[in-house]
Amino acid sequence: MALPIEPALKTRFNPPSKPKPGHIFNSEIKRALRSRGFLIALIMASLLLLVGLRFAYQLPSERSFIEEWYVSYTQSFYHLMLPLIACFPFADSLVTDRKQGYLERLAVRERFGKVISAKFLANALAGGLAASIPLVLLYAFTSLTNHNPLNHPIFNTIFARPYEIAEVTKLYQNTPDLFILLVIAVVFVVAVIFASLGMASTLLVNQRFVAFSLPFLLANALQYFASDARLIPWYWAPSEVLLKANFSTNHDFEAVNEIPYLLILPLCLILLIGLLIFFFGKRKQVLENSLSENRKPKDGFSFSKLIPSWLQNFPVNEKRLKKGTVFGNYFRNLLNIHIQPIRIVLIVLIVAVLTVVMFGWMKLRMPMFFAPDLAGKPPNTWDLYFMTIGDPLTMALIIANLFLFMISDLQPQSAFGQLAVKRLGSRKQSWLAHILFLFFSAIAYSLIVFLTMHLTGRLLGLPFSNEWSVYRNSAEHINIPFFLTIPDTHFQAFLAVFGMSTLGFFAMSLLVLLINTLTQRRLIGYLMVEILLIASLPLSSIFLNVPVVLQYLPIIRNLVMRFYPFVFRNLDQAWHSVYAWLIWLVILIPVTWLAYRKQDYLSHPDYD
Amino acid sequence: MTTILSAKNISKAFKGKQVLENLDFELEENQIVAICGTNGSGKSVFMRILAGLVVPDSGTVTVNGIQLGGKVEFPSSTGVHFDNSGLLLTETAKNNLLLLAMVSNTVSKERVEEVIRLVGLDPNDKRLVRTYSTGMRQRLGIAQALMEDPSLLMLDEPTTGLDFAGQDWFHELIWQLQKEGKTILITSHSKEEIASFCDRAYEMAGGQLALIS
Repeated sequence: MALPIEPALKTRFNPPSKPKPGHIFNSEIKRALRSRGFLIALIMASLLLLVGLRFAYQLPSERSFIEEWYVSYTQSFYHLMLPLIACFPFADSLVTDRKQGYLERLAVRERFGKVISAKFLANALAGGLAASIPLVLLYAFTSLTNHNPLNHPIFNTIFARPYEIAEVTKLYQNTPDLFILLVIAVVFVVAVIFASLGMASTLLVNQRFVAFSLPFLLANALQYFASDARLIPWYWAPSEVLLKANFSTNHDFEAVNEIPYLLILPLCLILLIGLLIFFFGKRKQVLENSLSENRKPKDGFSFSKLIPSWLQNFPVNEKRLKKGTVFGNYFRNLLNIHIQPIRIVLIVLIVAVLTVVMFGWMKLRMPMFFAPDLAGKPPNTWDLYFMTIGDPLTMALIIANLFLFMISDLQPQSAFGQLAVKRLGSRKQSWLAHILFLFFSAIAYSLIVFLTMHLTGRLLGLPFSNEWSVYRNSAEHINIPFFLTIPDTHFQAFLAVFGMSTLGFFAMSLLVLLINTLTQRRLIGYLMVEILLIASLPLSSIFLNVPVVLQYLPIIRNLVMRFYPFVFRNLDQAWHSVYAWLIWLVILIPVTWLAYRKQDYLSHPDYD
Repeated sequence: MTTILSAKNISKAFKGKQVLENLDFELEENQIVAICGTNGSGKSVFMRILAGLVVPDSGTVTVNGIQLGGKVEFPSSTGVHFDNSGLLLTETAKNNLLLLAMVSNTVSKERVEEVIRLVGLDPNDKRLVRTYSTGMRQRLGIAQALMEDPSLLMLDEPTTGLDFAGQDWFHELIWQLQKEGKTILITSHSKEEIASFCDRAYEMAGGQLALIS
């Protein structure tokens, strides 16, 4: 005879009924809109718009609310930060739910397709709302505080209105509210696409940070190659799609029949999302990829398996046993483990490709300097070096980014690193070894970048030369201030550029180390500092009319010599960035020691 | 018997959650002592405190008469092995041990090869540790703990991932090490397992240790 089951138990093990339709979507959208990420995204977007509003207030007082709104939007770097704003609320939820096993719990209760579509829908909606709500609030604010009449003629000569797209300009002038609605709708749709791309990318890579960084890096790379380097057509720049018209550097968008071109980027991104879901979104793949380290197949795919072992490690020298000091051997071990041949190869390859791209741009901008009948000294490898390393986007997105990524695995200590620290016997010496390691790494990295750029330039046909080329009289095109070209050799200019970038790499790597130590998480420090670095591009605008000391707060200001809106640097400001970095170091070095002194070495997996 | 390790009034909390609370513990020379407990009970944190890797909120740890925390942060003459094997997956077994031996600066190449053989692995194996099974990684982890010939061994769940034959081999190894005069502290999930080879056993629960009779 079957034993009677207590009603309470019955309910616990047999859910009363299948979840109601829309139940999963409701719970997911509640999670998304109540998440910390959603709040952060709203704050981030609002701060950006405040930066833009500051620009708008510098316009003539005859400005109407639509000028205030549109200039705040266009000058806030919204087009660069939009992918981050869109992905922050919920794009990482698929990967975190997978890792925590929550996705499995959902999948056994509801059809898998429904679970995944609810997740994607909630993410898309949260991303779109996070990006568009601040614009709505800005609309409310500007229309309530500004009652000036529309279309004052003074703005016919100022870059405040969209003049490029004829039909849109009519909307702007005749029905500004409709124009704002159109822009907000476009922002909403693009944010939905970026948020979906962030989530879809985690179907392929089981890492949370990919959800945030992939759309962000992709959008910024497209913006750079389409709008700045001009290597791909104009319509690949997200700023064009986002109706940030008449700020394009490479295209005058005037013809109505060009409007369909604006659909190319969104449609390609939607196609990419669709392909990712089609190939990697199957139930088995999604759920099996989830599981904890123990349940991963031992012979699963790993990029490191494709790399020959001689490229992964330098040989271990047995003769060093029982020789030297314990500290010296610990430091040598750090070099042996963290400076792998493959990393050096990757740095050289990436910097070489970047140099080739910049060379193309160099020729495009000043073709007369490359003409066969040029009067004066032809461009040389120094010009290419100064132009590449002095470009703010190149520096923020690639050169500094690559260095920060390479050193981001120093802390928290892996299980192997903990065993080495225990044998070293001192937290202080471990900290000192890490500081020295970062210092020498920054110097070595700057030298590798320097040599790679010169050698790549030589391979591209530029001569090595000790003398200034024709660029001496138009130094702004190679991103250095004029006064650095006054001495006959490049030495002083090199010292200033090399000094500020190397010290900058060192200081930023200390910040990565500090954040990783405090959070005991890898990549968090890298991501935070990289975001700080990229955010410093728009944030520099806030510090335009402040005392000189404060102008050096945004990081990018101290990594490159010339940078909009700081296009001029006087002779007495030549070393200001070096001093700024020294102040950073004076603060960061003791603070990292404080973090190390009480650091708990907790369990961390063996990294491949 | 001489007390080789003592911990007094040890407390530790993480993000407001009290993991260990006023915990006292003593370990006598040449004994095999085990600590068992459920997941998250604080065994590993306690082992890491004894090894100097985690700083307690309060309390003192003394190993071989020397108190940790001042000039001496990590106890000397102790070998440790934790739940993660602590290996570089892109190196061979021998290179892993050589790199650690270089830091300790007291171990010869011959000794490195000897301990690798002692745990049943081949020092000339050119395969990377990435290709090793969990059991082989555990063995290599134990080898690095033994490498400097320490008088005190702290092994955190050393039999996880070992098959039955591997567990038998491990018990034999532990008894052999005890005969050589070493003191051994082990953690495990399984009361049955530790009952078969330990001199004393404790259970950790609620941040406290209780002797299992």
